[in-house]
Amino acid sequence: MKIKKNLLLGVTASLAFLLTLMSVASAYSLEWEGKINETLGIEGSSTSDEGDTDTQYFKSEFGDGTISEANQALLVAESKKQCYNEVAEGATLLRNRHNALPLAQTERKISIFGNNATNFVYLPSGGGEGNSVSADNSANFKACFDEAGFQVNPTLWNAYVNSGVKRAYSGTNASEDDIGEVPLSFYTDQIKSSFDEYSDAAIIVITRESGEGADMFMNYRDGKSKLALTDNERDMINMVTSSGKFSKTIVLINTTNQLELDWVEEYNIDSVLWVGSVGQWGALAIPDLLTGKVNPSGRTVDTWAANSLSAPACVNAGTNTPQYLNVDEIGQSIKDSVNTYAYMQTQVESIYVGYRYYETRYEDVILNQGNANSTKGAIQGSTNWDYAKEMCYPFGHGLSYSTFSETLESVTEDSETDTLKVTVKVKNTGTTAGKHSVLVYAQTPYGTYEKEHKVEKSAIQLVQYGKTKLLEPNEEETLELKVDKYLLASYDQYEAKTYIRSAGNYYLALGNNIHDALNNILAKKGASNLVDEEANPVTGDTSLVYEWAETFDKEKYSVTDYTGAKVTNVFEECDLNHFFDTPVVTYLSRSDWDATYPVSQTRVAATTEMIRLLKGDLYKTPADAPKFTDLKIGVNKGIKMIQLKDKEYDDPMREEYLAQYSLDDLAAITAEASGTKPIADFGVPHLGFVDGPMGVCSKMQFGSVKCTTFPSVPILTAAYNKDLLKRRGELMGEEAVFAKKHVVNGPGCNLHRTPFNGRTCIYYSEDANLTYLAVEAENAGMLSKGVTTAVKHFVGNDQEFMRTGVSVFFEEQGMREIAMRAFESSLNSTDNTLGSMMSFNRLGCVSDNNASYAKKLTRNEWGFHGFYQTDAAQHYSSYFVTELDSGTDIFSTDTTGRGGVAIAKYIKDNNDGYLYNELKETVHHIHYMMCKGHAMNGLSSTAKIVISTPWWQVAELSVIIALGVLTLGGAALLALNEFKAIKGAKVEG
Amino acid sequence: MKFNEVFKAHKFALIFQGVSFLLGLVAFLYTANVLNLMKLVPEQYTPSFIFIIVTLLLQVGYVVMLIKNIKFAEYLKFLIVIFGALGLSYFVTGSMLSIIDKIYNIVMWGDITQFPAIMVFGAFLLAAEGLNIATCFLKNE
Repeated sequence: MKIKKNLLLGVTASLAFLLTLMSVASAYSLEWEGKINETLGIEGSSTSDEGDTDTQYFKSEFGDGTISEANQALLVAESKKQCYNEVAEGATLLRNRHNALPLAQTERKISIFGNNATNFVYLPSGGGEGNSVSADNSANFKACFDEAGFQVNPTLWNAYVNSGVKRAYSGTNASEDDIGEVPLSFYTDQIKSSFDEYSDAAIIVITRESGEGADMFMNYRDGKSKLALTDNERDMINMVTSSGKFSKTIVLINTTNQLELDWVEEYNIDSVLWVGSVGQWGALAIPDLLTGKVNPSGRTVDTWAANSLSAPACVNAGTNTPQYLNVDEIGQSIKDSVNTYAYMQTQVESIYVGYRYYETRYEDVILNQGNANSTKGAIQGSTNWDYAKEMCYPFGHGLSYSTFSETLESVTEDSETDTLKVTVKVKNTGTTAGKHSVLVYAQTPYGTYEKEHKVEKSAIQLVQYGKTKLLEPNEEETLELKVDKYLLASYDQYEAKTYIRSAGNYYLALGNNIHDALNNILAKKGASNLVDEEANPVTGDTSLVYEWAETFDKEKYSVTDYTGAKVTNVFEECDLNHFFDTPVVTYLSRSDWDATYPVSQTRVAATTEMIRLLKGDLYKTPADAPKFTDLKIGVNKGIKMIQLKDKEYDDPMREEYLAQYSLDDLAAITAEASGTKPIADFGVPHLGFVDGPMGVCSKMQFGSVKCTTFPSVPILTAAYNKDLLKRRGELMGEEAVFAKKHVVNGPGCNLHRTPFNGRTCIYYSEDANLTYLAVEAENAGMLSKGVTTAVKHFVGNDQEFMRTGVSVFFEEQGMREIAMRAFESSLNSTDNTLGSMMSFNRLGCVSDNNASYAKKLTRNEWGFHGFYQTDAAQHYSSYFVTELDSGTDIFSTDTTGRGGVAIAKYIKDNNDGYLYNELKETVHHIHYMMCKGHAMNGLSSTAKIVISTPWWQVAELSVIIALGVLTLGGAALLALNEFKAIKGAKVEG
Repeated sequence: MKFNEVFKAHKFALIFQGVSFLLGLVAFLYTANVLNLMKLVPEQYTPSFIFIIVTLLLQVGYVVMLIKNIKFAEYLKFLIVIFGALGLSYFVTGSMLSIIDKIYNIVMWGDITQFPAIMVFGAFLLAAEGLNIATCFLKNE
């Protein structure tokens, strides 16, 4: 049969086209092998074990190894209950005039206002930190009201649903971003007439959405920030409150960014309930909170200021972050994108983040010191700084449907543990059952020494908390809370260059919120003219204050309890002033608020030295480095990983085990792409990584169910309930185990340095101490299931704007007592966690991955044994050798293993035994972590790791071979055709 | 052979290749612009950039061979398809991280602002490749 030449050519070309596409796709898919395996639920390795020992080292509540359908349903139910409990206990009643809440049994016909109620935020944008929540896999906001017996105004609700107006979310461009609220003209007469029937209460939903890579805009519309009401929202609220149709007006705040709520008084709002973002099932708790089925017991974890831009951090933060003055000059030395080196953020606020600023300044106004009543930092139009004008709701504020009394029973010191035992009796003095959180605050002295040596002091700080059980009316419970006196030490970076205990009077205090507690302390100090956050005169309650005196001590905390190492300055190169002969930054100091409050951005031209550091290629082989070729490595002594399971961190067998690896094999372990690869020779199983902390995300499943998206972290934290935090950790751990994941990237330990932080939803609080106390419980929960938490993002990643490379400058005290404190309870010798994810930002000028602070501080000083991994993707040049030397253990999403290749090449080329030892130490950290987790489940001393080729790779190869054969066949036929044609032509010729 | 005679003899092939060339050229200019301006991941479009150049040169070569009436010109069409496919494939893989960002609505892996351009120029390259394949099916008029 004769085949037409053009048809043959066309078909062959089509086959060649498909073959080419398939070949490139196949090569690319190999790079993403881990992710594809993860998506398809393939492990890539299995365990062959004939031993009869119980190898389930970490027991599950829901079945060992595999999960049955019945247990799967139980786990879902537990996670659902957890979501409910988190919102039930964490949602915070900010305002409740005339006891408008709870709604009476007869008040069930309601109108829900706010177009965003139909587009409620369950999980803020970003997606990377929780599984997507959709109507079919979650408790829908409106459906929850229906199920709770409410009759929701259908005319209004349907009009919103059909409005066509949607929230437009933009991480980068304010003009493309839209709140998504409808204009006043939307409310037709027909809609307005529907209010009459559904007038028991107007529920107004105010929503804001931020997310990964996207801070809230500080300059959003008409000179206002995105935390202020927009015109459409203001018009809506005005319409509702001025209509006179509604018996009650209740506002639900559906965001984790602290809105500026100075308008609630203006519009005479009855009640305000902050619910944050509620995750998959948390919305179920909202109607129950409104009806009183659940008594609110949440307390704020942040300061809710009238104008959030009044926080001193805002001058150099978020979308206000300035650029270096000589960006072009810097660019001549650096080949990366300009955004990875152009921006500089100076934390001029020092320790004065959140309440530490507002409350300290208040005390200084009351005590008439430090020029605190200056206009600098005062809300626009104020003649003097006035706390009540600046504040809406202080840290620790939260109302209940009941009333509780706190009695400070006793405070006793335990010098052995260096703690104070605070005994507090709580009594429910109201008529409704409820839980109550007790927050213990402290004040340390700010005296002559501190002023002279620039040791800053917050007038008050949280030092411990606890929560009662559900107390019936008149029921009492006594809580015993341990306060670690280490939290009362201050870092003296200029004189003692270590932590000091200040001389003078110390105070522990209780209060309805942090401001109330401060007033109690001030009363104890004999101060007058005290006011609450609404400017009402108060006298303070001195019975809730414990006072004692301490002498000056610069030795006690100069050696750390974690390791016995000396505590001294390590961040000097992160202080911008380090690079200049005369200071270019004035850090905020309570010694003179007027002279030091930042009024303009800090901008400098980077010096030559700074540019060298910005470039980042910093490693040089030490002169005394041993020769790599002199080291004996790669001799297999038959030591398997399982043999190290119960060995101490510094057991000599670990050294022998690591020496078995060849250089290339050792280096390859530094690559992570949805996990690390199994190594059969040494019995190393696959290790699965997954993102968190809103859940075990990336569409992970246990059994046939997608892992749970839990409520936002601030809501969980606002419950001030460590049992709830631990349970979150346990359930995430359970889900991770059955999703075959060993490391969860979370919890998030960065701070709400400003309320504009795009990822407030994954970080606990503005307060370092609260983070320090809360994360410990969540880590412990996950660790109990054999899942490692990789606390993130270490460190200084307190904003999203230009996070990929922004230079973060700070002084040592601010870094140690604020940003680092939040990580300290995780990254220490107690193995409370064994992992951490680094951040994209720089510390000082140096890329975080290149900065050696992880090593200097957390390893040498705090004794951290776990691993450090880079953040997910490389946005600027990777100097793998420098990164390794600085403390990086795992190169995240290094799909091709280029980090390990570069490191091994450097070691060989430079015969660098020092770097080889660093590499070995890196694997030591990774494998120590593995030994302490559920990766060991199923492994006995006789177990073998079996590595299998995934089916999709076999399928890919088969298709490529088939296409190749067909293409070659087509080409052969073409050649034959041509040959025949030439031959025919010759014959004719 | 004069161009009008060539055009008459290979009308559809030349039209297809002309359109394909223009589509490829626009995509080339985009990737070149990305290389120059968006240094986020400098190497991400380099392979695509190279293969598109080769494809464009082959297309010019094809027309020259037709005009010069050089034998086996039609086999160049085969090579054009292969290099075009390489250009397209590497364009997609080079854009994948920005596409992932768009899917998850995050600013992390790639450059989300490039997503609309990626869709447009990806479509250009796909259309160009369709025309290249279609050219192979044409009879030697």
